[in-house]
Parts: sequence; C-alpha cells; structure tokens
Amino acid sequence: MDVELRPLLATLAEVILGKERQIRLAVCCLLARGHLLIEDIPGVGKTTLSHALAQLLGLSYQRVQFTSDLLPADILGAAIYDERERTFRFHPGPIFHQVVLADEINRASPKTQSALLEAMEEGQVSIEGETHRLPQPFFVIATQNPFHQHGTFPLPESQLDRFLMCIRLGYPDPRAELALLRSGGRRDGPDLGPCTTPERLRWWQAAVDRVHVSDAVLAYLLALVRRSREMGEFPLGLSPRAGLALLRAARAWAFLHGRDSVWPDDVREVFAPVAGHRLRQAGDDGNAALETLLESVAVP
Amino acid sequence: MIEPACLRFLLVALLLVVWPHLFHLHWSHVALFLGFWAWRWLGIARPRLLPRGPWLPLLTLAAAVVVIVSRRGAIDLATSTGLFVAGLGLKLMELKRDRDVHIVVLLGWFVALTQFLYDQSLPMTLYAFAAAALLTAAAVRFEAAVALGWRPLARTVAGLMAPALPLAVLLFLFFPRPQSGFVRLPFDAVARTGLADVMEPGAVARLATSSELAFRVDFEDEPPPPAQRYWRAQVFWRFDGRRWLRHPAMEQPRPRPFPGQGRRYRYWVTVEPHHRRWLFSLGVPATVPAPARLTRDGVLRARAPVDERLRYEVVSRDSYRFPALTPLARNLALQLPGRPSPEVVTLLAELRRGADGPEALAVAVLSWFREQKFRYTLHPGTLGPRPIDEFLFRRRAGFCEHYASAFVYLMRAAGVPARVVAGYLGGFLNPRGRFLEVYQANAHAWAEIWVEGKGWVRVDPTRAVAPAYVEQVQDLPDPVSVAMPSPQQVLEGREAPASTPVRRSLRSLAIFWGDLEHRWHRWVLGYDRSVQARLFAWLGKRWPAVAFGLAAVLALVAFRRQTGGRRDPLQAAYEAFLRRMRRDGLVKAPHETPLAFARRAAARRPQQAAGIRAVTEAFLEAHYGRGDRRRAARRIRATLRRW
Repeated sequence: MDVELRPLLATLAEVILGKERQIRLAVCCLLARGHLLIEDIPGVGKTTLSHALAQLLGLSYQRVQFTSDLLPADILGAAIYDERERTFRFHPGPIFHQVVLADEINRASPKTQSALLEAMEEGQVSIEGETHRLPQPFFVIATQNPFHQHGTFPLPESQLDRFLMCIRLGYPDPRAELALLRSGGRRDGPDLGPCTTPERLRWWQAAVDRVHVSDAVLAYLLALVRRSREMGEFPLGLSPRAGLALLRAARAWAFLHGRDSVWPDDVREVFAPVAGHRLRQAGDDGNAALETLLESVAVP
Repeated sequence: MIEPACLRFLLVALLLVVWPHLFHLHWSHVALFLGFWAWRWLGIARPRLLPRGPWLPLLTLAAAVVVIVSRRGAIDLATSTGLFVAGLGLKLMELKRDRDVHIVVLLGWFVALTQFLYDQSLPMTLYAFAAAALLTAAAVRFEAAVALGWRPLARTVAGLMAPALPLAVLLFLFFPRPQSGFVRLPFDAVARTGLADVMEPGAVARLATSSELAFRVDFEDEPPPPAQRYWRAQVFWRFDGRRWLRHPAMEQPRPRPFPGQGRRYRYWVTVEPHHRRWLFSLGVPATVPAPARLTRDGVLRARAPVDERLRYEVVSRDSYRFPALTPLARNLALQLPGRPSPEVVTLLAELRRGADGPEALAVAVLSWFREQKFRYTLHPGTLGPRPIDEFLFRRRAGFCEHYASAFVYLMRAAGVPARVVAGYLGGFLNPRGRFLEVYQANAHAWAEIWVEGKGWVRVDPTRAVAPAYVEQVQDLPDPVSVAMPSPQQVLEGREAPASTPVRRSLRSLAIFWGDLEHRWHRWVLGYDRSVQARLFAWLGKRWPAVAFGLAAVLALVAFRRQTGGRRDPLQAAYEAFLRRMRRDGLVKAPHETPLAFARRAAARRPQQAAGIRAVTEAFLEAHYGRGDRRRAARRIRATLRRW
C-alpha cells in the first residue's frame, strides 16, 4: 500500500466500518479519474463515504438529490438576467464542485441524467454558447436503487459506461454494525480535517498514468475482454472503452498498493467492479458469470 | 501490388548477390543484367515504363541471343552463368505478384551459390553468406505483415538460416566428392605472377615487390633456422649467354629420393595455384609426395599443372649423399655459351692462386664480389650483348639472378660443375599459426656447386653482396602486405618505419587474417576425396554410435523446443519452480495469478513460504514489472537450488 495514501484509507475505514474493500475501490476510482456508481439500498453509508472522501481530500462537496422533476439547469446552472448590470450572468449549478454526490440518479428523467453524464464525460458545461470548465479534480459518485420501482428511469448501457466502476456497499457485518450502533450513529461523524491537498491528489493521478504495464498484462487484459465477447454468457461483450477503463483501474489499483507495475492480480481485483455493470450483471462480488469468465482465461 | 520499399530492398540485395559475377562475366552479360536492374528500379516510381505484353518474350529472346552470340555458342560455365544472370534480370521485369518475388529470391540464392564456381576463398564465402542473408531478409520483409525493425529482422533471418547450418555441415562432410574440386575451374591463360620457365635478367626482380602469396608451410616441429629456409623449385643447367634454361634429361624422374642424413624436417606445403608444375621443398626433398615426382636434379614436379590450391607433405634432411656425377650431368654442369673472355680468364687465374679446391675458389669469388664493391639493386639496367662480362667488369650492380648467374659462370669457367637454382628464400613466420608464409617477393636465385665427396653444395652469392637484405628476407619481421621494405631501404640501412598503433594493428590484423585463411584452406578447401575417405574409414565401425548420437542430439533439440527451451529464461525458471511445486502436490491453475498461487502454496507449505515468496516476487518484478529478466531467472534458479 502506498505510504502516502495510508492515512486517508485508515481514516475512511474509521468512518465507514467494515467496508475496507469498497473504500479502496472508491479511492482507486478517484485515482483513475473515473466516476463511481454505487448501487445500493438507502442507508448503508453512501453519503457518508462521499462526504468523508471530499473532506479528507480537501475538496469542495455538493450533494444533489435526484427527483423526477429535476431539470438539467438545476444541476448545470443557468444564465440569469442581472437587473443591475443588465446582462445575463451565469450561475453555476451544483455540478461545479469537486466531489458531487448524485443521489438516486435513476429517479431523474433521462434528459437530466444525460445532462449530468455529458458533463462528467467532457469535464465542461456549455450554456448559451458559453463553455464553463468543471473544477479539477472532478469526481462524481452516483447512487441508484437496484430495485426497479415506479417512476424510475434505469440508466441505459451507454450511460453506465461513463462510470468507471460500479460497487455495492451492502450491509455491514454484525461486528461492524454493533460498533456503529454503539457509537450512536453520529450522522455528521467525526470532524474530519483534510489529510491531503487537491494538488497532491492530482499528482497521484498523474503517477497512476506512469504505472508500468507489461505486455504480458496487456495480453491478459485483452484475453479477458475478448473472452467476454465470445462466451455467450453476456448479452454484450466488453467494449474497447471498457478495456481502457479496466487498464486505468488496474493501474490505479497497483498504485494504491504501492507498486509501479500492474500485476494480473490488479486486473482481477478491479475486474468485477469495472466490468460488472457493463456486462449488465450486478455489481461487485459473488457473481458467478464473472467468476467463470476469470477462470476461463489463463494468466500469461 | 508490391510495396516500393520492399521492392527496393530486394533489388539492392539482388545487386549485391550478383556483384561478384560482374567481374568475371562477359561485359555484355553484365550490361544485360544491370540494364534490366536499372529499368526495374526506374519502374518502381513510374510503372508505365515497364515492358508488358509481347515485349517480354521479345526481350527474353534478345537477351538469350546476346549471351549466346557473345560467347560464340560455347557451352561452358561462363555461358550458363551469363544466361542465368541475364534471366534473373529478365525476371525482374515481371515482378508483380508474391509468387514472382519467391521465384526471384530463389534464383538469387542460386546465383549466390554459383559464385563458388569461380572463387571459394574465405572472403568470398563470407560475402556469399552475407548476400544470402540479405536476400532472406528481403523475403522476410515481403512476408511480414508489418514493417519490421532491423533487430527483429536480423533475428528472424538468423532464426531461418541457423537450422540450415547443421545440414550444410553434414552435406559438406558426406556429399560424394568428385576427383578434384567441384568443377574444373576455367582460368585465364594469363598466369599469375610467379617463377617463369626460364631465368633471364629481371625475371626475379619483377617479383621482388609483389606481396602475393606463393605458398604456406606448416612444420611438424620447430621451423628450420632462417639461414636454412631455401625453397628449391627449379634447377637451370643450360646457359645461352643471357638466359638460363632447364634440361630435359635432368627433368627425368628419379625413382628414389636421395638418401639423407642429419636433422629431419617434416612439413606440409600449401601451394597457391600458379598453373605451372613446380612444387617447393626445403632444400632437396627426402620424400616424394603423392601428387609429385622427383627429378634427377632434385626438385619436385607436380604430375599436373597446379591449377588449384595443393597441399602435400614432404620431409627434408640437413644433408644428402649424392651419387657420383654422371658424364652427362658433368658436361651439363660445365657447359658454357662460348669461350670465356680474356678478362674472365685473367680474373680466374688470379682468384685461383690462393684457392685450393672448389669451395675455396667459391669463397674467393665471393670475397672478390665483396672487395670490388658490387652493388645490389633491383634496377641494374639492361645489359649489352655480353652480359656476363659487362656485369662482372663494368656495371657491377644487379639482383640475385645476376649474381647467381655470374657466379655459376665463373665456377664453370674454372672447371667446377655448377648450376643455378631458383625458388624462394625465407618467408614470414605467422606467430599465431606457427606456419611460414612465403610471398612472391621472396623469390630468389642462388647457385649449387659440385664438391667431390660432398655432392651439391649451396652457395648464395647474394649473401656475400647484400647480407643485410638476405637476412631480412629469410625471416621477414612483418607480413609483406603490411610493409615490405624495398631492398634499397634495407641496404642503405634505413630504419624500418616507426611502429605506430595503426601499423601494429595492421600487422596483427594481417597475421590474424593469414592464419584464418590458412585454416580455411586446410580444413575446408582441403577437405577432398582422400580426407573424406579417411573419415568414412574412421566411421566404418562407429557409424551406428555416431548416428545414434546425432539422432539423440536432434531429439533433444526437438524436445527442448517443445518444452519451451526456446522460451525466455525467466519463464523457464518459473516453470522449473512450478514443476517443483507440482511434485509437492501443488498445481497452479492456468487462470491463477502467480501471486494467488504463491499465497495458496505458502499456506499449504508454511515451511517453504520464504522460498515461494522469493521466487514469486522475483518473477512478478521481472515479468510484469521493469526488473531484469535474466537476473530474476538467476535468482529463481538460485532459490530453487537452495530449496
């Protein structure tokens, strides 16, 4: 594990009890400059995680609750006429924050969803012919309820692809839950001071790009991607973009573990969170089809 | 459609393959090939220039006519090679599809082979290999889907050519050999430099500056001392006043060699082809090699002209017991072109006064040469109608043949049987191979006089006149190609050129090359029917064992290839580790990552956890990381040894 990242992960583990792997995946996703989709029922700590992450990294944070009547302008911002100056002035929306929690994204209309996802992809917002750059680093954590309820609009595959990873938090194990109850569930949590700076985070992100990937690992990754297309188990195989995402995530995972080269283990570790939602299989862990896929590809 | 870059590469490779032929083919054949070649080269950029349709058969016909007419219909090697090279040029005209490229490459390989019909020397062999490799590279470039870098290209070519090597060695060893050489090589009637059939003034001097090799000698033991290194080749009896000629009666074969005594030298002479019949021996030979016979005057004659490099074994002794002089030999050894002039008679009367016997007279003549300040020079100028008198009393400057000739004349005039001997003196002792290299520049002429009771005694008049020069020549300090000091320089006592680093490296290069070439001649070109017969005889009873051994080697190579012997060392080392673990009942599944396997294995075999971790870490670092593969492989092997 990278020494510099250790305090960050340790503090996060104190905030969200018993979810170390998920915490790591979230940080990994952030390091890989990707966005995170958390697919889970309410009340398992999604908000706490994203809030704590923003605080610890010293990033600005905004939470947006998605509802069916939410309009794109409510997220992106709008140009409003200023009486005094007699001009239109752009009022940035909640998306102009470094960490944005888009809660229950599948409740909003497709129009609003796609406005958010477009901004995520392009890193900028265009309104009335003016382009506004989003802050850097920019990290979106979206949550969605796995159960299809009335009045929800599940994200289409093309939109799901925008998220680097999709994870589930799940219920805490009994011991962690007991500790949680004992602490009284202080909603605001301990007062978290930033333990690093945005500059540092950007430096880490740059370092992730320099992590070495050998031909052997590339071959392994390629074999996994191709196998997903041939297997017939999945309606759609992994796209080339998914392969790139897998590569980025594996690099970040290796960096997170203090290495400067990617091992096949890194690819395996991030495979389920990165490939799961793209293969229309449920998120993390315990997925038989993904496991079969991994077991059918030899490690070079 | 063929990619222009590949096509240019192929054309350059073909030009280099054909290049050696350009020097011995008829000029019209060369022009044909070069013309087609240039045409094709231009056609790369402007395909419209290339001939098509009925033009191709017309061109073919025209080319064939040119080749046959230029050779005047002779069916020989030059014509066939000419047709072949012209045909290769023609084939370039229709280089369109992959198949054409394959044919051209095959033809190119064959042309590279045909060059051996003309020249089998080591440089040419290396050149042919390089050209064939280049041609193979051109073929690989055509086949490769992507443009290869130089290194992968070289590796592919080496990988393709290497398997042919054992086959080539086997064929070389076991292919039946014709009686002599591969084919009868046509050689130009213009012989190379070398000794002439007659000795006339200037004949040897002409050779004095030639750095061409005459022959090489390997000795069984130590080579003879420099003063003994007289290589006899010709004996001249008849003198017509200007030229010395051999005598047919004395060239009759002598059934047995002369009985010799004293120190024994056994040596092997490798003669460069000179297209005459003489062979060389250290003094008088005591044995007669198979390809030669011994003449009555004690020199070796080849049974056929030496058109190919010839190697033979001879033994020489320090001294011999010669049978008494026959009347014919005595007459010949006293023959004079006419009555000696009064000046000669007076001189001889004077010299004879203090001299008792032929040897004392010889010493007196030599000291007279010395006292009268005779000069040694390569450019004595031409002599008039009475060359001996002019040389002895007026010019007093000459080269070794002048001295040998004048000395023998004086001895004969004084009634001592004498003859002129021509051959080579000294040579350069190659310190790497311990063999003597004798060059044309070592050509020399000296005299032999008949002494009753002793037989023929060698006298070298040049030694009396120019001792420094003779000493220099009989044991050359450098190979001639590096620096042959002119006789003038030696005589004037000029310092040898300073020993600069360039000169020193040139010298060692010449020595190295001479050694390499000699080995090539001995082991490769010298591998003839008789040597092959010896190999077969040796194999006679052993062949099952040898065949079994070869089969075993082949099987081993095949096995290693299959089991990844050709894989990189790291994979091999890691597989060795996996085999070790398998013996312990731990099998790594293909989909299992090395790290996962190591964790599982360490949990099952806690006492070996350290070793497992060390091996896995080394493998991961090098295989997936930036670590050095070879070093990691060594570390894994070391860990496995300590297991």
